[in-house]
Amino acid sequence: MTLAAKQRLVVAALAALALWPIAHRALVVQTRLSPWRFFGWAMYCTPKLPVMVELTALRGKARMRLLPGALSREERRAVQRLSEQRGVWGTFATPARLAVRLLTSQYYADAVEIAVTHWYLDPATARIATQRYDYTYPR
Amino acid sequence: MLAARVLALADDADRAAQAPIARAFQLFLLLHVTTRTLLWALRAADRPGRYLLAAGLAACGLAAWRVPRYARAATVVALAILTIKLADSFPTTSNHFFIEFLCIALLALCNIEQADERALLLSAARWLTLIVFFWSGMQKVLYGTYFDAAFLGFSISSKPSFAALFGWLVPSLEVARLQSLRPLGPGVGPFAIQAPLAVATANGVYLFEMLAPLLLVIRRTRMLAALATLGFVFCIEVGALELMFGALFLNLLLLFLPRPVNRMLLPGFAALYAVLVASRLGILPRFWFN
Repeated sequence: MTLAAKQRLVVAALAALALWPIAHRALVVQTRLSPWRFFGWAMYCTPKLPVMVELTALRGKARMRLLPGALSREERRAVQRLSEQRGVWGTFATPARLAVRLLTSQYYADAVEIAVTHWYLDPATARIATQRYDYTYPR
Repeated sequence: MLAARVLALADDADRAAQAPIARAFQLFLLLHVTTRTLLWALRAADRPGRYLLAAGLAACGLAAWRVPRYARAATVVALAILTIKLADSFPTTSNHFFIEFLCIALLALCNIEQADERALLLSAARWLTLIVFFWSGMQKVLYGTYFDAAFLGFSISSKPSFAALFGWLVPSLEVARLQSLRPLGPGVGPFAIQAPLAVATANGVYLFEMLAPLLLVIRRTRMLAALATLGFVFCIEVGALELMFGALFLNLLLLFLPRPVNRMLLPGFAALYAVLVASRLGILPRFWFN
């Protein structure tokens, strides 16, 4: 490879590197992607806070909250995994696989509802705020 | 040509010292990625393959050090090993790793025995440093948690190391208030700090991170800006015990100095890494660092 070709390659890579944080920021806003990951240089901009997952089984008009004690060990692990994945991937990590698992074990339910709540430090109030995403999976 | 002009902005007026600077940078990076990979392996006893990666990188470092004509080939092998590490750690790969990866890629691309390619390597590594530093500041502005020092307040409230490091900026009553904001939950706060010194410091951080890259590009101010930035990064990273990232970033900043100071400091960094590994292994007293 010639020097000129190497220079072009390096400058193209640097340009991509310089522009990526703009897209990264937009993705964080739109999808709650982790600001600490994916090379957006937004570490120490906002704290790493938990992502909560709540499960509800729906049967007709009845709603039954599925507490951790009512879940198998594998289901609890799947909930934990979803929480971790959401903390990294934001809304790119959907709860669909967990829903399939729950619809199998909660055989009486017509549907399951999975609520995913992201905590974040709200710059407007300087308090912990939340953003909730509800997913409903019918049988 | 545009690419050459862009790269020339970060080049030296006098390239006389570039050979030892580039060589020291090459050896430092191989030492750094070996140490980081070994520390990564020590964190997961059930993943013996990670030790193989660390051993492979150590072999690359040794080859590059003892037989300079194999140094570039060693960086190509190191890049392949780091690609495996990237695949294994994704998506939780740290941004720190990405900097190492790009620097090793640059070393694999450029033949540092040739003056023009050496200059390309150093200009590109400097631009990489400038981009990372600038965006670290700009992101703080975009997230808006530094204007009223809310991020600092949150960190003081949740991390004793932060409270020890920055607590002196904040009156003790305010520190006590922040530390009482437990347990965390929706609505808890506010984490904003009233103390003027803390607010000025928080705002100073992103202002410095955004301004310093400009001063590092201008040749007339480069030397002073490099010294100021070295001091700034040293204080923050040592204070936060972010020693691995601190060492990497200090070495990137040393590239802006006109003399091969990085070569002079290389044994010091090697000693630091030996201490860190010994601490993790329990040979020396253990302490937390990142």
